[in-house]
Amino acid sequence: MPEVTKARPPGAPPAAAAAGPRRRPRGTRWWQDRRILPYLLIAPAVLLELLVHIVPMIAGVVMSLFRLTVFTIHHWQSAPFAGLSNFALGLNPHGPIGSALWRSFGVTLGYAACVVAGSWLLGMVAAALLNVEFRARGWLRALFLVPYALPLYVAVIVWRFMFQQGTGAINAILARDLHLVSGSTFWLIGGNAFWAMTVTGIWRTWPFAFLILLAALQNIPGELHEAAAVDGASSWRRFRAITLPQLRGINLVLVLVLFLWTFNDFNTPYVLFGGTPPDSANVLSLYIYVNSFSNWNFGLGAAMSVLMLAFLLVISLVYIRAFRAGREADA
Amino acid sequence: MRESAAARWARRGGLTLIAAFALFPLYVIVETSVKPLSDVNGAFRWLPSRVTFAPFVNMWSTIPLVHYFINSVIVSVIATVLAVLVAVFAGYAISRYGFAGRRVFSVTVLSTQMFPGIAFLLPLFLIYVNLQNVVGIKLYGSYTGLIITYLTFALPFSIWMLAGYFNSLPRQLEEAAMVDGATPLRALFRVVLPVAKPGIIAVAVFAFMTAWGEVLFASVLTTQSTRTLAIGLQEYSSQSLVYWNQLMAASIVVSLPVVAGFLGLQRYLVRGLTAGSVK
Amino acid sequence: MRCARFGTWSVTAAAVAAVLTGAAACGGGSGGGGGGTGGNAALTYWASTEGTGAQQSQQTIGRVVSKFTKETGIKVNFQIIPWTDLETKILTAVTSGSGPDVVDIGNTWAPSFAATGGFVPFTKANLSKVGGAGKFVQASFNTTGLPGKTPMSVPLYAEAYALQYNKAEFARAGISGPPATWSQLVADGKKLTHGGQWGIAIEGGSYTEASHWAFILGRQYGNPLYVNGRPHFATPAELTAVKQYVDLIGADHIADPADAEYTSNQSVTAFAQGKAAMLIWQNPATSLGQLGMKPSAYGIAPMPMPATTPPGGQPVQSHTAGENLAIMKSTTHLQEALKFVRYMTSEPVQVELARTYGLLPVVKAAYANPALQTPAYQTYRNILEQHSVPMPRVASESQMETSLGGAIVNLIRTAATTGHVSDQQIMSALQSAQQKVAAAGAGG
Repeated sequence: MPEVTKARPPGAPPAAAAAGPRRRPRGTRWWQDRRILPYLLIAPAVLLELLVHIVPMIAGVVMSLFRLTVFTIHHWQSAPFAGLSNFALGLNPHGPIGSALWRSFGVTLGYAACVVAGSWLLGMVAAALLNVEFRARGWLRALFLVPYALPLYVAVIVWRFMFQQGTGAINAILARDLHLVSGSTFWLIGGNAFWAMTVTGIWRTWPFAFLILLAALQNIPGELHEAAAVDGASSWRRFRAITLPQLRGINLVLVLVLFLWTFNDFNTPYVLFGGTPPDSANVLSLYIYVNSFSNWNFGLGAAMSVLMLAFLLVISLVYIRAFRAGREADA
Repeated sequence: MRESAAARWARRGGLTLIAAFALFPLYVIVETSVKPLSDVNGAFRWLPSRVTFAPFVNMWSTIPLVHYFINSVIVSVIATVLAVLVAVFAGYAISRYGFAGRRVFSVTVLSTQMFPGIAFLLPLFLIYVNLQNVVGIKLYGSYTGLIITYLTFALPFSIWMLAGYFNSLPRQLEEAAMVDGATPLRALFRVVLPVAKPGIIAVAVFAFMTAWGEVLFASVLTTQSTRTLAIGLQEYSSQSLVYWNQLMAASIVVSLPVVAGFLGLQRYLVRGLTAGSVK
Repeated sequence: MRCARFGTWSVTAAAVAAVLTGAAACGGGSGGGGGGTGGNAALTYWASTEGTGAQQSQQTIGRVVSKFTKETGIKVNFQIIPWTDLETKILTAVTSGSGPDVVDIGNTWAPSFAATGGFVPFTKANLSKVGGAGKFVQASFNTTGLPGKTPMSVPLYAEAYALQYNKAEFARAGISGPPATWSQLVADGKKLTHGGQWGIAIEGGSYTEASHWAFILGRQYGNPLYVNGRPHFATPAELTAVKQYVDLIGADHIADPADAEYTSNQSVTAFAQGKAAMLIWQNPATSLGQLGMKPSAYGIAPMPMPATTPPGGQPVQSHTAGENLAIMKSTTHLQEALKFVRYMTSEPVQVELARTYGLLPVVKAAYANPALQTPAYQTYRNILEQHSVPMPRVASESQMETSLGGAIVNLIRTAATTGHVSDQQIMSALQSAQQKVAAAGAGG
C-alpha cells in the first residue's frame, strides 16, 4: 500500500491515533473522503466562476477578434473575423480612437492613483486616531462607515447634486460663503471634473481602507508600542518603525485591491457624468461603454477591454513579484 | 501611554475634519429630502425655507418604489445566503486541504477581480439567454440570473477572507470532533462554523452590499418586473423634471436597512477582518 | 500520481461545464422569448417613457392596452422603459434573439436598427395589415427605415422643434413678436438677458440635442451631414451652423453658462420658472403644464432661420422627430403583433395618445379631429409636414449622434468655462468627429 510511504499532503489533519492512517473516518460516505471532499467543496464556486466570470471573459476576448458592429450584431455567429484590427484601431495614437484611448488610459491611471493614495492616507489617519479608547469612538467609527454602506448610486448622486454650478452646495460654500472660488466655477465639466470625480471616489472608498486598517492596527500587540515608548521613541517614530512594518502585508493587498477596484470603476463616473463625460474625466470603463453601447462597435469595445485587463494583469504580477522579493529580502 | 495635550488636540482636530468630510454629504441628503421642490431648484440653502415631508409621501408614486424595494430585498438576501454557503465551502477547502489545483483555484478566483465588468457584460447576457433556451430556467428578466451573478461577484473577496479566517482557527477543533467519529462535513458545521461567526457575518455583509448597490449588470439583466432599487432610483431623474427632493428621500429609505445592518454588525466586521487579515 | 488523478477531476468538471456552455451558446437563440404558454397569445410590448414620465406612461398605455384586449382578446404585457435604457435593451434583445414582440424605438434609430436585420420588415402585405402606408403623415413615414428599402417600423408619435417664448417677458422688453431669423433671435436675446434672467435656455449637456441642432442648422446653412453615405461634418457651412449654437453661450452670452451641465430637461424647468425667455424644444406642453406654466403664458413659433438663404440652404425648421413601432423578428406572434400595431395607429387611439402626451399624431385622419384644431397644433403640424426632414438615414446614425453631438457638447463646455470658443476649435472638433465616425463605422 502506497500510503505508508507517501508524503502527507499539507494541511491534512493528522491521522486518528487508534485507526491508523485512514483516509476517512469509519462509516462515512465516499464523498466525505479526504481526497474527494475538497473538490466537492470547491465545485459550486468553480462552476459559478466559470459561468459568470471565466467563460464570458473568454468570450469577450474572442469577441475582440471579430468585427462586431451594428451590421453584424444580429447574426453574431457569422460575424467576419477581424484579426487584430480592432486592437490596431484602439492602440494607434495617431488615429482619433487610439489617441482618445491613450488619453483615457492616462486619466484612469491618475484617477486610480489619486483615489488610492487619498483613501489610504485618510483611512490610515482615521484608523490611527481611532485606535485609542475614548468616549465618542464608537459613534465616530459608525459615522465614518456610513458612506461605504450607502448604495453606490446614492453615494455618487449626492455629489453630482452638490457639484452643480448654479444650485449646488459646493459652490454655495466655496464661492458664496467662503469666497474661495468664483461663483461661476464648474465642477462637472472642464478640468475640474477630474477632481470632482476623485473627491467622490475618495469619499466612497476611504471607509473601506479605514475598516481594514483599523482591524489590522488592533491586531498589533500593545506591548510592542509600550516597549518602544519606554525606550523613548516618539509617536511618529513608533509609527514608522513598528506600525508600518506590521501592516506591510495588509497594505500590500489593500493597495492592490483598491487600485483594481478604482481602475475598473464604471459606476462613479457614469452616475456623475452620464454618457458624455468631459475629457478630463473620461475613464477607460466609461470610454469602452460608450464605444460598445452607444457606438455599437462591440468588437472594438471588447478589444479595449482586453487591453485594459492585460494591463491590470501585468500590474498585479509585477506588484506581487516585487512584494515577494521584498519579503525575501527581509527574511 | 499618555498623550500630550498637543497630541490630544491634534487628534481631535483631525477627527473633526474627517468627520466633517464624511458628514457633509449626508447632511445634504437629509436636508434636501425635506425641502419643497422650489428650494431644490434654486440656490443651495443650508436650511430649508420650510420643512415638508411631502417628498417622503410622493416618492412612492412617482416611481414604483415598493416594487423595486421588494425586488432588491429578494435578490440581495438570497444572493447573500448562497454566497456565504459557497464561500464557506470553498474557503474551508483552501484552508484545510492541500489538494492539487488549490493554488490555481485561489489565484484564479482572486484574479477575477480584475475583469472589467464592461468586458463580460454582453457575453454573460448572451450565455444566460442561450442557457435559458437550452435548459429552460429563466435567467434573463428573472431573479435567478441576477442572484447567480451577484453571488459570484461576492465570491472572490468572500473566499479570500473566509480562507484567511479559517486559517486562524486551530485545527484541533475539527480534529477533536473527528476523533470522536464525526465526518469532516459534520465537524465543519457543528464545530467550526459557530466559532467562525464574525468571519461569516463580515462576508454576509459584504455580499449583501455588493448585490444591493450594483448598477451595470442590473441595467441589462432586469426587466421592469425585476428591476432593483439601484437602477430604479435613476428614474427620479429621467422624468420631465428632476425630483431631487424625492430622490434624496428615497435614498434615505433605501439606505436605512443597509446602513443599519452594517453599523449593527460592524464589530463582527472588524473581528472578521482582523482574523482574516493576519497573513 | 494520486494528485494528478484528482487534479483531473477538476479539469474534467471544468471541461464538461465549458462544453455545455459552449454548446448552449452556439445553439443559437431559437427565438420566442416570453411567448404565451398555450391558450390565448400574449404580446410583450416595450413602451417608451412619454409625457410627464413613467407614471403617466404607465397609466396611459395601461388604459389603451386594456381596451385592445377587450376588443381582440389578445393580452399585452407591457413595460415602460426609461430612455436611458431603451436603446441598450433593444440592442441586447436583437443580439440575443430574445426580447419583446413589439417595441417603441426613437425614429432616429430606425436606419441603424434596419441595418441589424433584427426586425420584421413592413412589406406591402404587412403594411396593408396595419392600415396601409397612405394613412400615415408622409414626413413621419419617411423615418421608418433605410431610404429606398423596406421600412422596419411604422410611425407612432411625431414631434417637432418649435420656439417657445415667454409672452410677458417679450412684452416687458418691448419685443413685438417672436424672432424669425437667427440675428433677430440674438438681438432679442440680448434685450432679454438682464439680472438673473437669460434670453434662451438650451440643454447644453445633451449630445442628442446638440446633434439635432447640428443637423437642422446644418441644413439651413447648406451642409447635409452625410454625402453619399459618408460623414461630411468638417465644412465651413457646418462651422457656421455649429457656431450659431455654441455662441448662444459663447460670444452672444444670451444663454446661461450653467446650461452646459443640463442633461435632464433642466432647460425646460428654467423656461417654466421664467429664468429664460425662450426655449427651442420638441413639444414641451405637458412638461410645462406640470411645472405650472399655463399654455396662455407662452407663444409658439417655428425655429428661426438665416436671414438670407445661404447656398445650398433649405428651409428646415426641425428634424422629423418622434417614435416608431417595430416588431422584433424573434416574435412568435406576428399576426397578433400586427393587429396591435394597427390598433395603436388607429385614429381614436392616436388622438388619445397625442392629447395625453402633448405629442403629434402620425395619421392624417387624426388631424381632422376637433380636439386638435388649436393654433398650437396647427403650428406644429405645419412644421412637421412642411419644414421637417428626417435625421440622416444611415446605419451609423447612432454613432454620429454620440461623436458629433459629444464633440459639440464639449465645445459648449469650453464656451461655458472659458467664455469663448474659436473657429479653430470648432473646426478641429468637427474634423475629429468626422474621422471617428468614418473609422469605426465604415463598411460592415
